[in-house]
Amino acid sequence: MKNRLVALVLILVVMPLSGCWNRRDPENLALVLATAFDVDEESGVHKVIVQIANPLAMGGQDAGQGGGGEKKPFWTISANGTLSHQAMRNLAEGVSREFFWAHNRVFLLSENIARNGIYPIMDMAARERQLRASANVVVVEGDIKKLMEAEFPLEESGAKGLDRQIITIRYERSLFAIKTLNQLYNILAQPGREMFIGRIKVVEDAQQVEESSGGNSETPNTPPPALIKGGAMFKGDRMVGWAEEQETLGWAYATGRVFRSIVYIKDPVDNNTPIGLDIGEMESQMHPETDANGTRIVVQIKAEGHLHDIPVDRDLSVQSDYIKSLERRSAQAIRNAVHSTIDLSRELESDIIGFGNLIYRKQPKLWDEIGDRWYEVFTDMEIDVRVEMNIRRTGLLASPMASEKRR
Amino acid sequence: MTTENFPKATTEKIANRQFLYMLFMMRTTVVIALLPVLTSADAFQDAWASAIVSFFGAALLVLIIGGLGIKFPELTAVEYAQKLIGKWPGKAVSLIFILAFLVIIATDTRIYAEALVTGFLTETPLAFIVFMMVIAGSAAAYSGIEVIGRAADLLFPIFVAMLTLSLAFAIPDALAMKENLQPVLSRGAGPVLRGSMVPIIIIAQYLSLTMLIPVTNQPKKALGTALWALAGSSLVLILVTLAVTTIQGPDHGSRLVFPFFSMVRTLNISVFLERIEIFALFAWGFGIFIGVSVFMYCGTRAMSQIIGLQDYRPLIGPLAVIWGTFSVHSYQDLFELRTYFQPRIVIPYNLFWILVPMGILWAAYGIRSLAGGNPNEK
Repeated sequence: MKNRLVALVLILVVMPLSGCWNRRDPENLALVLATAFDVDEESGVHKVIVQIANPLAMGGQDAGQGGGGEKKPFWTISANGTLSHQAMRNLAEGVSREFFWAHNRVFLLSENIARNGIYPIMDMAARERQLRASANVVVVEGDIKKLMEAEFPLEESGAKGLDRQIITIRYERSLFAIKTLNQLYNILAQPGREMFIGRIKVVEDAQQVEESSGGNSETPNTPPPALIKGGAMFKGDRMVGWAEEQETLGWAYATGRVFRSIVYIKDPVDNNTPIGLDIGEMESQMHPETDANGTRIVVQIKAEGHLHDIPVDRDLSVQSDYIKSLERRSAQAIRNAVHSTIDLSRELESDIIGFGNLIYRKQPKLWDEIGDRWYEVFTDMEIDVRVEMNIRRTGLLASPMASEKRR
Repeated sequence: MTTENFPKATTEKIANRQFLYMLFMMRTTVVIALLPVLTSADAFQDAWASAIVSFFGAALLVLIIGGLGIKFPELTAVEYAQKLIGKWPGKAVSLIFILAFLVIIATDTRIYAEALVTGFLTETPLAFIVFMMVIAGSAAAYSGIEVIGRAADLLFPIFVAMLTLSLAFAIPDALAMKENLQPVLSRGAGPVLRGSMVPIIIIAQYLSLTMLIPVTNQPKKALGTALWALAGSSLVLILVTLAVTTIQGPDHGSRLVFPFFSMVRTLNISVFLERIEIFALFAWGFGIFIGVSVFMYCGTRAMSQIIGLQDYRPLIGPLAVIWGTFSVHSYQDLFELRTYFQPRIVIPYNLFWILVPMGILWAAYGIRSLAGGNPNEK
């Protein structure tokens, strides 16, 4: 028994030691961190822009004194080709090292290529052995080349910055549709459901940041290279339009992809004071219901949250009518967001929430009848959004200061 | 190397436990490598049901293949065929088994080599990988079935552990995308049955039972052991099918060349734990190794009995060369390999290996029983 155990351990030890017979040493490879795809609409030429890690400048804090100080920690280079794979191979014309793609974390698609159809890229990525289907995909609004060259103030490389920013926005505001390449294959193949990919907006100048954040922030000294919010809506493999903040939130609410979100409503008493709620947990369920009037879809959303902005003196005991009316109002705000998504889906014929897929899954016979003309049916279909909002906490402050004391 | 240092083929025995491990690993590797429940027909999201159906179909064929072995617990198929239908007809029928072993070794090794060449060692010549596997298999077969049994003892826990790891890491993603399994069984039994055909017919691998039953410790129980091995590998097949259908999607999954592999590649446990496909690859390699060694043993043993040699070992060298060459040359490319696994080709072909020899032998057995007297007697 002991001998067998030793033999087992020995075999397991040997496994990670396997080397490469053709001596492709990791330190001599060009590690691709981010890949961007673009297409020239007139000539149809595909362009690939990659960001490569620069080991000379990345070697820790002391590198500055070691002579590599002038170099950026990453390098951006682009090439053209008939299709994206050729462009990726053509990159070698200007690079001294062999490419290694397996560490690529983000695929960026330009608006151009998204509108022209992204299936060619998905096909190539599924065949190529080094590319990972677990990498995130985003659609870029604006100059994609500029984004690939941009430096992120807090990060050593742009790719890492993007990767982190995507995660951050998702956890903080649920304003972004994270999609891995693998999920995109899934959605594209599913009947009655369209792709929805997160958007990255390239910041052209500081002015734009000011406008985007409502005009109430000062122009920062160093504008961020990119703002992440909203998403690109697809029909088939072609992008048909942008979803803004409200529609993206509606999508996240309806599909239950909310980590944290904020809802602002007006105080039910004076109908003016803004009151803010933080939504912490959210569950969503959809099911079709058939009765004499035909089939309708019920979306049931259960949300829980806490108050975080309530600058007026109100009765905050949990069972009070006031809390109840806050709950009703915030439920309405959520319902509005979902309805705005549904309206945009109908307008663009891009069913990103997947109502058609719901019918395909739950009532396949009905789908056989209506699947071919889904968007006609979808336009008239009744979608009943039921939101149940519960306010559970009031933050660390139990009740606000009485109004008269503030005068 | 002299053969005197090794036990005589006639006295070698393996435990039924080792027999179970061998059968489990050889079937599991092939059914999950190409995942024919999903890729060979239009079962799509109902492929898991095909996997369940395939157990029953395959079990029936196992009974046909192994049933006679139980009646002649001391004899291999080559020996009892000669007893049942006479010396030369018996030898002629046994040649079909040799053909089956030849094609099965060639195909299993080739699938493994194709996966390595497509996904990992793109510049390695295919023949190199094939012959490494064949050489390893020959060494094992030369050492005898007892040694292969002990190798199975050692590799089985690793094999199971690695499959379990790959599947366990898939659970979070599979749960998140479980919608891909709906609509459940909406298109009736047709697609489910079509999806189960190829996995059922791949049970032709268990033709090795005809040579292995007499070397087990308890030949009378060997059929039960084989059914347990089949049940185990069917369970793995169901789990793998569920994981691939949910994570890759029924449509995309059915288009992949190596679905299980692509599925494992997409898993991302956390930022620092990814690229876990190496587990699946090692498990696969071990399974193929055990399969190839067992088939080489069975093939050379059958051949030696047909031509009347005392020991099968001198045949390993020449036959290994034939097997390796056949593996490299019987399929021009991946397209031909995939064509082989299409139902209209693989089903009649493999059914021929199973039903023709076993049908003749069962008929002879039945006639001898009816004619009175014990068929075990000459």
